[in-house]
Amino acid sequence: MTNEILQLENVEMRYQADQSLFDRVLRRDPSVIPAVDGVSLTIEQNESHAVIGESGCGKSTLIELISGLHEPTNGEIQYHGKSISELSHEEKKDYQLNVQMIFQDPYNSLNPKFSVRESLQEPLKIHGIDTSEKKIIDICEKVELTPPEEYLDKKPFQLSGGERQRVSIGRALVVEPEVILADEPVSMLDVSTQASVLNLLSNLLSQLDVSLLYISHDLSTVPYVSEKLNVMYLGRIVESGPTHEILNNSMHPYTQALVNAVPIPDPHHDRERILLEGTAEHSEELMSGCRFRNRCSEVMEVCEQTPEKTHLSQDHTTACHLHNDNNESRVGETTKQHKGRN
Amino acid sequence: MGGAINMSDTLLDVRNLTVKYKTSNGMLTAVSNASFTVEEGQFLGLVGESGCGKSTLVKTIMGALDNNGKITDGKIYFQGNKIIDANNELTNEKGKWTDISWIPQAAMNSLDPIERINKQAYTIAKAHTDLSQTQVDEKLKEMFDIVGIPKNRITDYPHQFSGGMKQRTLIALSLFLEPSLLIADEPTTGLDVIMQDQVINYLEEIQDELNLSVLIITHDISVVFEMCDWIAVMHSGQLVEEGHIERVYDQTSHPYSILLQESLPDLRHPDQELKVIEGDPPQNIGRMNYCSFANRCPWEIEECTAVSPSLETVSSNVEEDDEQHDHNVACIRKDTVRSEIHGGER
Repeated sequence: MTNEILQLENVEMRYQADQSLFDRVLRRDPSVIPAVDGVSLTIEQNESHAVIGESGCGKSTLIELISGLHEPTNGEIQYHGKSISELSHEEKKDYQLNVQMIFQDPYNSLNPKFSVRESLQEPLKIHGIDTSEKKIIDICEKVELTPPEEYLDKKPFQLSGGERQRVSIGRALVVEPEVILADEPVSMLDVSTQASVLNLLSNLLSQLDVSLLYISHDLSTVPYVSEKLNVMYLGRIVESGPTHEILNNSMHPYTQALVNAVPIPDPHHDRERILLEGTAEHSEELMSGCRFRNRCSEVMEVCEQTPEKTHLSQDHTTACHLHNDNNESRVGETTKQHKGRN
Repeated sequence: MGGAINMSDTLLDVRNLTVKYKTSNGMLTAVSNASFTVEEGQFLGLVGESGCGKSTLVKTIMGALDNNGKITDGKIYFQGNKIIDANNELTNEKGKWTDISWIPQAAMNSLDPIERINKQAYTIAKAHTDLSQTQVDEKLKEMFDIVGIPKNRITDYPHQFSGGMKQRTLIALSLFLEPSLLIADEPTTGLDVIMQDQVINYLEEIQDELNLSVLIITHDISVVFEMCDWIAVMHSGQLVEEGHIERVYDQTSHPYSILLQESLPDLRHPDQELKVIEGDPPQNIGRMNYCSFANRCPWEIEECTAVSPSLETVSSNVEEDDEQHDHNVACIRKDTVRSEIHGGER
């Protein structure tokens, strides 16, 4: 297929933990933190993917790898079938043009000394594209900074959080990229502004020829921007599939906890709480086996082994021993449950 | 306010409070004629966008207004005693600091990074009590138990805790002097969903166990619906709707509260369209003789910009003195709005 833009194959990023002087003097091997561990993901043309997980699950590292800030320690990221580490200078420039980013914090990601016009012109200048006023006005209209004349000469401090995030989105879109990487683009906004930015993103996705990789910890925003969902825990993708299917029928205990943790805006709704204690933290014991086992309520002996990816349906997969084919009795149970809910 | 208030049960009573800031453009009204109460054992959620005056309100209660801020009208009572009024006279200072506990916004970054938690607790104890370090440790262990942190971690440094645990440590420290009212400003903002869930869970447990009153300030109305039993909605300095949570949810009558609810993603209905509240809240310079939501409101009529609406009890067919049915709205078109939104289902 030719419409695959980005392809991640078994991408792995291992950081070496800081060592104390004592350890260094004794020449001990530093402990290794697998921030991203064997992630495979394919982003096709006009497709949006969400990666969900709590702080420390490696989702930001994943974006840093794709944007080329780090070289993966193992595995490959391919852009139109070619590994990004092997791109020539020209190709690299083309890659940087076609993969744009939107950052989490609209207060710190815009140059405070640039007017809106200059912020929007900057990527065009860098890539040697024509910076005509018409183009700038067009993009302002696209991201609903209207009327554009009112905004073009404003500096970031004169804009509200939502307006700043629109400028960031405009800055990413102005070069007409193939993929946008969005790192928690709405998490710092007020609820009412969050709604308008989510609506804007979802409109832009349906109008423009662009793919999206959306990173967040808040599941409730995902259905608005992404049809595919990947749940990440300590560097590994534990469940992936169509957003709606996962929301209605999550299989991995971690996904279930994530879905459960989202507050429901209804005082009559009394949800059964699955309380996850502690945080996602890498440790020596979790290097092998299922990484979620120390917080999982359904932990079994077999969880000491690393779970394989299991297909629940054609595009819904999970890596959990509860749903592993080798465990016959369990499988019967889950398929029954599966049918029952549909 | 609707219904007779039994004074002995009222913990915090804010009456007709107006707070203004002196700015280069004139006097800016941050809180306008706000009245509400916190009863004993109540869990009240104060909701509004950034800049709506919710933090100013809390700072006023704590007597911690910025230098350019001034109470121009109204009084605040705590347990029947006046604690502050328009002369900015603070009374009952000592009692207030032990009875009201305040967790400011982003407070988890305010733990001393080079001091063990139990030493920090001792600093608090030294100022208000004459407990020894050993007694402090014992008590802190109890508090840690309530907020779900292992007791042996009281001698840890803040950096050894995660964000959610730091926030819970702060809750533990704020409970240390056994206050009767806990004010938490955005206690879950900046935490991911899992940590937010932990904090909500333990706040609920504390309320059950200690019969504490809690005032939560947040911009996230879903958190309020999740954990509070009373709600107050604020827009640009004005309290627009308040009442018992279920009652407000079932009979939402102020356009702002309605739009605020509809702008929120609900995981149960992922396909539901998100409503956007157009425009920004106004800069309230000079007299506030208008509804601050008027220029953003789809139901706006001419009179909205001519009078400042006051909180009025929403008519209800249910027996009036049942406190579950307390519900006040400040909107001159509240009955039209409510019948349009909720129809004739009642």
